[in-house]
Amino acid sequence: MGVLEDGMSERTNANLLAQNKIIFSIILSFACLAILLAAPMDSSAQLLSACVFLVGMAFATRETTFYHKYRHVFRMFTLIIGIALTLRYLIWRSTNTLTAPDLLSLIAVWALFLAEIYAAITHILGCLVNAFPLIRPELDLSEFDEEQLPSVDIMVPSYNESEDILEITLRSALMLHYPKNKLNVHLLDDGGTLQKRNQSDENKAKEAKDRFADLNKLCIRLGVQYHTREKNEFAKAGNVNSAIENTNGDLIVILDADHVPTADFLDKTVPWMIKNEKVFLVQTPHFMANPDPVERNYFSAFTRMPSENDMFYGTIQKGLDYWSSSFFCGSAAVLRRTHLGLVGGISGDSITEDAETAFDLHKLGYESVYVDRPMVSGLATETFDGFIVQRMRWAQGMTQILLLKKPFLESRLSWYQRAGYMSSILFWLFPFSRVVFMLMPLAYLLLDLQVYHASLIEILAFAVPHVVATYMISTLLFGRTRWPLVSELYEMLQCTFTLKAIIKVFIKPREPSFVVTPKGESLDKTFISPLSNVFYWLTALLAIANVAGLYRLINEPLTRDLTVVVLLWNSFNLIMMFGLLSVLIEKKQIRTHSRLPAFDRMSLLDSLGNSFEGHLLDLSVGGAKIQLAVTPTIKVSDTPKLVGWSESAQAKVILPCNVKQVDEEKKQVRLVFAPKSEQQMNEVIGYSLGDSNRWKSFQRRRTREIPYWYGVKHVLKVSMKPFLTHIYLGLKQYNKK
Amino acid sequence: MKQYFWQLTAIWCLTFSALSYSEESYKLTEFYAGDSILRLEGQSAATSLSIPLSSAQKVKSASIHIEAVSSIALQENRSLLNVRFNNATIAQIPYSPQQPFINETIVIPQSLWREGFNNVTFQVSQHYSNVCEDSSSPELWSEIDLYRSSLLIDTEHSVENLAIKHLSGLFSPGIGAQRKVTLASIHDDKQEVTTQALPIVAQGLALRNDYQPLIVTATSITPPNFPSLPDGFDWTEANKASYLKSSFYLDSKIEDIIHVVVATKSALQPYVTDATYSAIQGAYIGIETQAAVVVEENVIIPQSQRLIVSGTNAEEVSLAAKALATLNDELNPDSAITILEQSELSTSNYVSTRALKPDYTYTFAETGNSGNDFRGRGEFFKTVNLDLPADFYSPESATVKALLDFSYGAGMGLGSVMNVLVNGKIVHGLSLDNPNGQAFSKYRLDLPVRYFKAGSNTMDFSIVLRSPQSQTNCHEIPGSHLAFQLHASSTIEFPEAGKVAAQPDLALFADTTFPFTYATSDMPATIYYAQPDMLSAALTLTAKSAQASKTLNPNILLKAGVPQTLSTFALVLTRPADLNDDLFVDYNTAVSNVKKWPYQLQNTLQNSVQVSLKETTDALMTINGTTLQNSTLGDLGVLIMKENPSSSETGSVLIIAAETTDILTERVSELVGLNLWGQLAGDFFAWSNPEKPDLTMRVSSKYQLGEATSIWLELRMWLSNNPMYWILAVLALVISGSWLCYIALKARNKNIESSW
Repeated sequence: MGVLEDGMSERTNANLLAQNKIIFSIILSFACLAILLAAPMDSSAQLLSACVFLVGMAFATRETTFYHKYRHVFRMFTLIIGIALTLRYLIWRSTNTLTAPDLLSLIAVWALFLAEIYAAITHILGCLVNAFPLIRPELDLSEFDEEQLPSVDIMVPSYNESEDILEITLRSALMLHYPKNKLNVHLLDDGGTLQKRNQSDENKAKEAKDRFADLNKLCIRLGVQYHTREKNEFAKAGNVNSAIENTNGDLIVILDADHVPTADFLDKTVPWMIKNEKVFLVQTPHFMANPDPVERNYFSAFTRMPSENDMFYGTIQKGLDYWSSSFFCGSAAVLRRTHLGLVGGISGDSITEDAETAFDLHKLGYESVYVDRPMVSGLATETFDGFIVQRMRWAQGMTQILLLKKPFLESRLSWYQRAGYMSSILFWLFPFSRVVFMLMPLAYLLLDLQVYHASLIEILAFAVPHVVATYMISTLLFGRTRWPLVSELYEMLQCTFTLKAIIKVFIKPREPSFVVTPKGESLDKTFISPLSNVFYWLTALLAIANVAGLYRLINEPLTRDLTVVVLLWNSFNLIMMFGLLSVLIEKKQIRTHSRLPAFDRMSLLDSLGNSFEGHLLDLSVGGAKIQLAVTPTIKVSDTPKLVGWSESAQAKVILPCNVKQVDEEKKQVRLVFAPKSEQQMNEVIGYSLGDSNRWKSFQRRRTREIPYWYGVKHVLKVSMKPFLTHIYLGLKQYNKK
Repeated sequence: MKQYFWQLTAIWCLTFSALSYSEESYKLTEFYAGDSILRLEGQSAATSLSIPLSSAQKVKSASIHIEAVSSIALQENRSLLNVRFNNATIAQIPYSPQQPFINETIVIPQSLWREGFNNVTFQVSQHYSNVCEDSSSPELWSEIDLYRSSLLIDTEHSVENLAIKHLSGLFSPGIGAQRKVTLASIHDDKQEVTTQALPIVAQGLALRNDYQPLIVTATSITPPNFPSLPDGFDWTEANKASYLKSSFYLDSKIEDIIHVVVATKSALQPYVTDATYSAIQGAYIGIETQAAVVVEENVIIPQSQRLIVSGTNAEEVSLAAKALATLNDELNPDSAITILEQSELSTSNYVSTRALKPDYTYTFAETGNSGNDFRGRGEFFKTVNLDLPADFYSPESATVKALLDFSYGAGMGLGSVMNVLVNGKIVHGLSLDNPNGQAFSKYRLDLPVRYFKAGSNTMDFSIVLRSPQSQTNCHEIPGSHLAFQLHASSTIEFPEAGKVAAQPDLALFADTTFPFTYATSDMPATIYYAQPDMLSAALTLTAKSAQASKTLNPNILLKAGVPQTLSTFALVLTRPADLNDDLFVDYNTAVSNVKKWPYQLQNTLQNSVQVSLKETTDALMTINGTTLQNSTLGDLGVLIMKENPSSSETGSVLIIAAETTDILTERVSELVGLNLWGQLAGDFFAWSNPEKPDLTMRVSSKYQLGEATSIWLELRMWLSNNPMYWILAVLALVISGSWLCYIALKARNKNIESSW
């Protein structure tokens, strides 16, 4: 035995030595590369080398799409050479371009340079984080005895969500595939606290009391434990911590009020907890069942193009998982009670308590797991207003972690965990750079500030290759989960609001308070978002700058080189801004529940007992659209039954429906579910929301690879129309007033 | 026979007498740097031409012939061309719509001429109406065809007793000055006289000629064979002595007022008077008149004048030559001087005084440019000449900082502007639009250094002054109040720069004679002439090199023959038959007996690509392949510049080849002319006429000459010329880094997977 141990120890030592040698070699080669990049060379030679590198990148990127042994080497090659082009650009910028004829220009020059440095740092950190996304196998509970399974507390914190939303979530939680004796579902109501019920505003106090009573009834009806507390302290974190004190399950699942779990949620997550005692978190993706305002108002392509959070959950979390730094996202996750206890429960220094909790536990050496299977469907914010509220909270919270926890200095984290956290946190400082990138062309075109001191050949040799390389890497890393220019669009949309919010945090890091993201809002008419004004001003400014730029281009031949570049840059901003205007047109949304594509086989039974075979076209908890094999004899107002396989129930279910529309020509029928009992209600929810395979296939469908220029074309195409729509609707609203 | 002799003698005497005066015709384009069609627009416009006149010449008669055309919209009685000479009106030529074409000859009064520059001003008054006339109306124009217009001038030599101070008149860019000179040396004199002193003398005289080329004819004085005399006459000892001291060695066709003899005292003895011989006590410069040889009233050799550059030994001859090249003629009223001492001047001393130093701030005054005061309506130009070192090398991102002091007065009209141009490219513009005038102090311009080039640069200030619009109809404000001043206190600062130049570059050679400017006494630039008769061409080129670099280069040596090993910086004058093929080993062009022409030279398409790309990417565009052939050069002169294959250090060699010595001498005379020299470019230049080259090309890859002032600049230069090494190194590191990263990441992934 001793000999065996000695042998293993020797092998481990040898492995460590080899590992150290490799790391040393990597550091050495990167140091040499950095020195080479700083070597001086004229622009024509730099241009030639940039062309060679870009061609090399294009070749390597292509090779990464094929499944062969060296595809990861090509991926590394693309990333490293791309970063090299970025570093080369920054070195050139810092050594050759930071001059200005006057103080104002100097300030502008440095603001732009700092914004570029920020962008480069986040880009490089992004490359590191996403260099090798971790692909985990799917585990399930079948290999474990029931006795081995830990007890689980499902906690659904709520503040002001409606009873309807909560009921669906609670019912789904109760239908999870897990031993019932080890599963407890808790509603944590912060809208019915004693403080709320006794507040001075009588109307609000009454609302709170009614809510308290209604939710109590709901919980009793469903068999769920209702929790509330005396005071609304520490927002969501305080609510959960309060419940933790009053529960005793080994594992804690936190689900937002609108986050409906599929039946296999625990089946796929708990095994990771059982296998490794050091795991404190198993996080799963948040699958959004409805489009956010950008997707709905701008792209109108919710089912065809990746959602905003697909990039984070589909790529970045997997990258972070590889570096042991995937973090808690507030919901759709399993946490270990004992580990949570070590840090006093959910952390509450920041308003992004989720990431902060993960950070605190990573510090202690505990591990996180990310299971890339959508098993919780939630609601995205419906309005732009709500969207901004949510993003401001995230930006403020992450900035709080940066300022209060200083992850970059945290010695208990490994270097890669620090890089992972800094990547996630620094991203949220994008408003600084985005605002600078938007305003700098204006500074040149309108105020004549010399923001960029370079000739056309230098721009072609340094700046253009850097930008092209950045986009190539972005496509390589996120090509499936983020279409081109979409990130820019989201950043421009948020930057003006979140910049203000972040500055507040920098001034007073502990000041921000938790604001609940409004969800489930209905939009019964099309209107312009109340936050539009700032975008009107920006659009006008950018348009004026473009006119000024054209004037300069014609009348000032001396600076034509630079004017062309800045004008193109400003035009890009203007086109994106035109696109943003469409996001601000809040489109009417009639349907309560967003329907998603579905393809399950089913049959439809009419009242005479006739069965029509077919398959689903789309499905929601409210109803479905079906495609039948034969022309149906069903009419509107009939009450047929839909028969289909329910993954949740692991059985066929018969769901009573009302016919809403029949298209005999296409053989399609639109149905509204009409459950008449608690059981049928559960079956409808289980059938429509309980199958994670459906979410998975839906997600896979929209996260497909598309050609780069197709994505660009799509974004640009949908950018021009809204400008005119805004004028039309604006005039209409003005007339009504 | 006797009859023929006397006829020939008479013709020769007439020829010599013609030396003292000559009638010449010059196209007016020779005195104007702009377009050959001079267009004068508006109600009033004027342009002046500068006509230089040698101080040693007196004008006997002169006339100016004008060919012009005027707009037929011009009003007959009020429109005219006013021709002024040195501010005196010499003609008023009325414009007539019936006769728009003007063909007039105007006599320039002899009394108006003065030494140096004389101004001919063409001033027009142009009107199309008596009332409400728009001064900028497009109808108001006339054009003078300067190419067809000419100056006919008859001058005569005006100096009776030549002194050294008259040299600047005899050799000057002015009309009547010598454009050719004979340099005579003694056949068996010290070799250093030919190798060192002759080129310095040629340079000294050429520098006096400024931009006008000086064709040098070399001749060697050998003991003569006395010509046969008319019947009944014999050579007496006295006549023989007189003959020896005459200019018997000159070609009878030569029309020079003065020629030069360069020799040591001892070698000169038989050929100079005793007085002159006695006067040579050290480094000597003297002008003497050689008496005519007359035998019984028959002029055998006419009287002539010569400049003697001599000394008791070769060193003193060289010293005298250097003194001749550097002395100020005006300070030397004597006909002979002895140079006692001249502190040693190296090439760098000469060059550094001429070129601006990098990383140094100069006022315009320090660069030799005065301030300017422009008044009245019109367009004005001020050119500031900025001569950078030929090996000026600065990173392209560097900036030249100009701090301008200028001001303009009140009442500027719309369209009043100041444009700044560097080497013809507009780099800055400013509208002079403050109604109350404005004064600028240290108005800063940051000019990218790429606008400047090594060698001569110009910074032009183009000032347009316009009158303001009058509030009253049909009333124009005359504009006499308009004023603009550019002050000589304005400064310019060049960035730090290395001393490196990309070679081969004939354009740079033409502008600065680089790399000959690198020559030192230890490492001289050598002009090898394959045949003795090519010495004239060698000296002509030496003279031109001084004019191009605007300074004396005492380290240019002349050597007869083409040795196997050439000096680091060499110029070879040769016939193909004299060339060694070794000189063209590893080179894609050869002009020896076997000609080797690279693909580029033979292919029209390739030629045009190379020319349009301006050498920047020649390495990429080069298509290899050569043709070997046996052929002659015919009438062609070929100039090749290439890396010196026989030098231990990196150097350049220029080869000028022509089929025969005579053709070569003629081609070199054409090459140093104003037309061809300015068109030198690339590294292959072939020509057969004085107007334009037959082919200008770059056929070989670049190399660098010189030393960067820092390792950083050296590295920059090397990497810029050899980017592929850098690219390969980066790629190698990226690939190895990628592989290592892959191994490390894979290992970590394996570790993670093992824990599942």
